[in-house]
Amino acid sequence: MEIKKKIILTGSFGVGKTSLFSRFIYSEFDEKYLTTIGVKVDKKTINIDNDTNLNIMLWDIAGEVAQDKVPLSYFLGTSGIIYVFDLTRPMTYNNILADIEYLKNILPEATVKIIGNKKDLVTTAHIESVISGLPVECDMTTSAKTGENVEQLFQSMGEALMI
Amino acid sequence: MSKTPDTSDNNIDEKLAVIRHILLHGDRARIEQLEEIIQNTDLLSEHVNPIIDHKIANIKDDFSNVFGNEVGTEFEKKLLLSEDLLLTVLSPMMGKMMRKYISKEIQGLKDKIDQQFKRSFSFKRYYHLIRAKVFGIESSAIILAGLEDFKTRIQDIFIIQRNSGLVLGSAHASEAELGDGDIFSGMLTAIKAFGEDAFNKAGSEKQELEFIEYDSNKIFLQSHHNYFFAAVLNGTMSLSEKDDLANQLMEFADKEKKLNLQEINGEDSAYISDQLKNTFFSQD
Repeated sequence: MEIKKKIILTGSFGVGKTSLFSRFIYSEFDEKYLTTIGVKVDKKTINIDNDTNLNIMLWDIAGEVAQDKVPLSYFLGTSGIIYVFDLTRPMTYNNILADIEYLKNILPEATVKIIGNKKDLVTTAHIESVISGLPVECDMTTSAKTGENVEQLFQSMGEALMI
Repeated sequence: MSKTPDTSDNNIDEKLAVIRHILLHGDRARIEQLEEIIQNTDLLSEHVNPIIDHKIANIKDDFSNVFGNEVGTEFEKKLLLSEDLLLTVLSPMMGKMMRKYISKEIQGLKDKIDQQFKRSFSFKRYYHLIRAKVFGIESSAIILAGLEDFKTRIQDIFIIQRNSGLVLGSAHASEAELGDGDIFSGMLTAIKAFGEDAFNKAGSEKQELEFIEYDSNKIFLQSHHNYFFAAVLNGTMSLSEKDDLANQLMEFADKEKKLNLQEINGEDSAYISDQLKNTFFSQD
């Protein structure tokens, strides 16, 4: 069985959304920082079980300092939200509670995953300190550069969407 | 014994050398100075550069008079030698421009003919109307039937879920589908959303994106409550042809109730795609 779902990558600018997108879709990482303009859409199929393939339509949305600045229409029809923050920059998670509440308010049915990216740049102690200080639960920490936990992130999102 | 004056050659030479030294001293100094200038690049530049700059400035100001004929002749020779290359480079661009211009003119002509037929009450009008009715096509299309290249062709039709951008169904005129339909639909939805966000101000009437043009290709969009149609067209499209397509899409939407389902599975999607193919591409 083939199922299609729309998933969005959102969060502040420069947190690595496009790098996660490229790592997941193309298995690539580029050191250069190119800001995303508008939105980029691509797809990848993941296998959920023997009978089910999930076609993920992944929307990489341009970063904004607050989620209420993102055009509302980009969020509509979304089944899964991956909210990304940068473990090295507090300004990307200082507003996390308001952002997540806003997203849950406009998309009450959607599955939300909160991701701390760029784990390759910080120590385990730093990661623990950042996560314990967050007002929301961080689902996973990833590194788009090394690829650590990227496949697992989308696999777990896919499985959550099938429940 | 008297002493004879010293008239030896040596003495004369010495005296001449002294005179030369006195007379030519200034010239020698100048020659040495000039030699120093010539041998020292910096010094030479200092003296020569202003002259060269002045000359260049003169050439710049009067280039066409001084070299106009030579350059013109040379350019002409080069152009003749590169004629084939130039034609290879320019032909596709010129062809494209001409095609675009002709397409636009034909579209204008189609619209004018349709308008004329609507206004006219002549016998010819009824003749064409009867023909149009019998064959199910517009009068302008009958007149322009010979111009096959300018007929509107539907290449692909997509039905896209309004917010998610997921493809609910699609059909294509040929096997060569327009890239990846899912990505096309996703990006089209994003473009549509962007346009609607940009132009729909609070309190104003909601506007929808209707047309996207890319050279001779067009994407005609028709929005419904939960989904929208995207028809990829090639060629010109008159107003009446646009109305016809819009009506056909409306009829399809009315007929296919499955399109209003909130969740569409693979089976439903395959069914909708089949219906689209039967409706829009069965005669091809």
